[in-house]
Amino acid sequence: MLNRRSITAIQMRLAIEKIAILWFAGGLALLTPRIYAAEPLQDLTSMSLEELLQAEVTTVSKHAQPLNSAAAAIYVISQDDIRRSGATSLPELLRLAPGVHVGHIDANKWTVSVRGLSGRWANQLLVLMDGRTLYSPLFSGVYWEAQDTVLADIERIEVIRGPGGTLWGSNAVNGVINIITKNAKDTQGGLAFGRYGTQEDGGGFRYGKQLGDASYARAYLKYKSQNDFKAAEHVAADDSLQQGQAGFRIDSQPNTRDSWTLQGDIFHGRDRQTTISVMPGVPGNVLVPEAVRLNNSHLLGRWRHRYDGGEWQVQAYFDRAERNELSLHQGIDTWDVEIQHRFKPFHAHQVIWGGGYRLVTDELIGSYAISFSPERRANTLYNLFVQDEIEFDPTLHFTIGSKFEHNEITGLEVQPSARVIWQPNDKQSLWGSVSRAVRVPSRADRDMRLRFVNVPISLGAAGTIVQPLSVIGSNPTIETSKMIAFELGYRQQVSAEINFDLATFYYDYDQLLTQHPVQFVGPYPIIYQFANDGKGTLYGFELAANWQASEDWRLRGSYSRCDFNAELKHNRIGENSFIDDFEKSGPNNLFQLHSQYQLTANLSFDTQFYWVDSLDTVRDYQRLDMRFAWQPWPGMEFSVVGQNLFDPRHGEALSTDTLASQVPRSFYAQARFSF
Amino acid sequence: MQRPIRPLYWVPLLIGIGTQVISAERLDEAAVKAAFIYNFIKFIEWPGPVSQPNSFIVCATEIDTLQGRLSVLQGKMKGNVPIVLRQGVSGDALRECHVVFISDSTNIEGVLNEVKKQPIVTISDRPNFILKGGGLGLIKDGNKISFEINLDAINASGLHVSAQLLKLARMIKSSQ
Repeated sequence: MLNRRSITAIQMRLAIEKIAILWFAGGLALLTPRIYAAEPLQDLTSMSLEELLQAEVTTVSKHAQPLNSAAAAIYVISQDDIRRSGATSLPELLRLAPGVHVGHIDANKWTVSVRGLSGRWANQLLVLMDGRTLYSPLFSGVYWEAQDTVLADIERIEVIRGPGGTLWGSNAVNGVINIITKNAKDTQGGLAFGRYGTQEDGGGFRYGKQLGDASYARAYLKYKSQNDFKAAEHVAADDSLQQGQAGFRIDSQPNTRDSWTLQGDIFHGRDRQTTISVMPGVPGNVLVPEAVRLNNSHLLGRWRHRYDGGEWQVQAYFDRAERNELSLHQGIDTWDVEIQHRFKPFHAHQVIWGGGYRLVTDELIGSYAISFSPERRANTLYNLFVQDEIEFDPTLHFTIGSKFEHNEITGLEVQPSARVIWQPNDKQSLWGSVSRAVRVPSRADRDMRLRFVNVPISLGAAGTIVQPLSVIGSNPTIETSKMIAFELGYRQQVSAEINFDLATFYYDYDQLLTQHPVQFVGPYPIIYQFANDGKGTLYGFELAANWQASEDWRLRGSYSRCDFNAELKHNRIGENSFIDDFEKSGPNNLFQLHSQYQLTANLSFDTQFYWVDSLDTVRDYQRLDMRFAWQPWPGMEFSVVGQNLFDPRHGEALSTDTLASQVPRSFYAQARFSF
Repeated sequence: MQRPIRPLYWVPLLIGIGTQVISAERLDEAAVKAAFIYNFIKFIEWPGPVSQPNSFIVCATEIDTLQGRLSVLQGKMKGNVPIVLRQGVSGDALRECHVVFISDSTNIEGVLNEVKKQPIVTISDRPNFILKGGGLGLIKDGNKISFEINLDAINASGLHVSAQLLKLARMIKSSQ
């Protein structure tokens, strides 16, 4: 599982931009042969020293992004893209990747999904930061509001669309998002930044220092305060956010073969929200404005040993996540150990195998509305994986592997995958894959009891019917959701300036999670149980193109289409509506266009345009973000950012358990100084 | 009512478009660095026969060094022996090399220690490389590349640097 932190793991044979060499965090990618398809090798060795000294140079990546040679739909968000996006949080950054749907539910909540199945409780994505899983074992989704770091210290973000179960493990059903921060060696010196705006203020400081001969360290502090979004035109939504975080990272390479990393962060957040809840004796729903308190901390260590022909890697971490709301107090501790070995047993074979063990202990103190039984549970998860990448000839690579994972709820789960990539020349590549992925039931699916009231039924002038109180009961026999995925992709470097990447997919889902009514009062179901009664197919494509229009102007665009047809395996009354929600939970169409324009050596102007198709209950919207930046001298940058410039406010996503709000038009100014 | 756009606003944009035509002639940085390394090899003399007399071994500590541009050296000649390129070299294997190129993210001190007192030239494009004891440093000067020589280190390896190379270096570190 070590390499789960790096989508650039061996089998993916990823070529990434320019200097995006993975060192620690990326681990294995170094050993991966990459193919740079930018142009034929430029041989300048006939030039004399005098001529070379006079030559004006530019870096390759400014011209053309190398075609990546992964047999998967992968996209890399570079540090330069991060800086120029103007985004101030991790989920906002993910908008940059093709095929990723990011929606603001309120000022402190997001939905992030890939290829359908979105929503706050979207639970088909594996999200990692420096090798640590960010998704909550409670519901297998990510509390994005509790994930942060100094964005300038991110090396890059890799986004895989599609299943990545073989190496990456459970929950990597629809995709993997891998956030990799820089080696401490690359963040030496100080960095200070401050931001002031209509919607958000924040600031932070990082300092990096060399410790001894071969060790480097950095430490940081950051703070962010976000104002309320809008509930209506002149009504604030009471969903502000305040958070602070501190952390450190040490990287050391005592000799040429060994290296290790130690890193830790501590986070505190206070978010306002309006919870949709129920109370005993009160008919219908009650709205409860409250402050949610979040405390997270973790510590991670990793050691890597290289030898001629192979590499060992060991990683361990501890993570504590607390979230306190009126209805539920959560405290979740995760202990995780992983080991991995990569070597070449025979000519043309590259084998990678490993295993991992994870212990999750939790304490979930509920309320009338939501409760867990038992309130405390310890869960173990262990896995083994093996994968072989076979090079038939330099143009044809085949990867086969499987993960074997054991969990306490459903036992052993096997997730095999086979991938092939054919690169007849350095301008084209064609790849395909077949994989099986599972989504293991979360603690909530198994042990949660939730009381809720369905929305009132309107009878027009005659009034409304308030529906009775319903309960979703736990289901100890809940099963995994399973999926078989077929993918086919093609990439081409049309010219030195233009390339495109097409990925198509067809997923066959079985045992999708549903809520199955087991007791009725009249026509109204009052008791539901989680079940695996859904099945369906999902298909679509993503087309992304990149055009270096001139030395100073780069345009990138993408269009993604995704359709989901789900049905019930057994036709039970009252269950259909839930499946309908499923089908509409992700946008069918997503379009984005990014322009990066370097006006002069120290002025840049960047624009991002998005069109997101309607969701079930959210209208389609267009979003325009702009950023203007000035670097008066190296290390100093002033920028002005405008977000959501098209309209005074719009909704982006809904949630079932808190009130959603509308994203306002906003502006901020930022200064960033490194020394 | 909308205000008309004043034509002056467009001037900076037009200048931007004009300048990019000139800069399109720039050379790829990685390819230029690879060519520098080839030139260094030409202007340094190795004493007598070395461990593998039938080839001249250029090593890189990483794979895909200089975005793959270093592979142009493969098969070129140093005197009358062919240049062999090895990438991703570490540990003891470094001692078989004639030249070691240390790219960005490698641990410089570790590699330098490994090849100390050997007839091996170390080259890197990391800042302050020669101050750390490296042999030849490639540095970016605006949008040009130049180089620095640590004559002490190269002499200590028992190698000889041609005067022409010394003449063109931007900086020479020497205790003499």
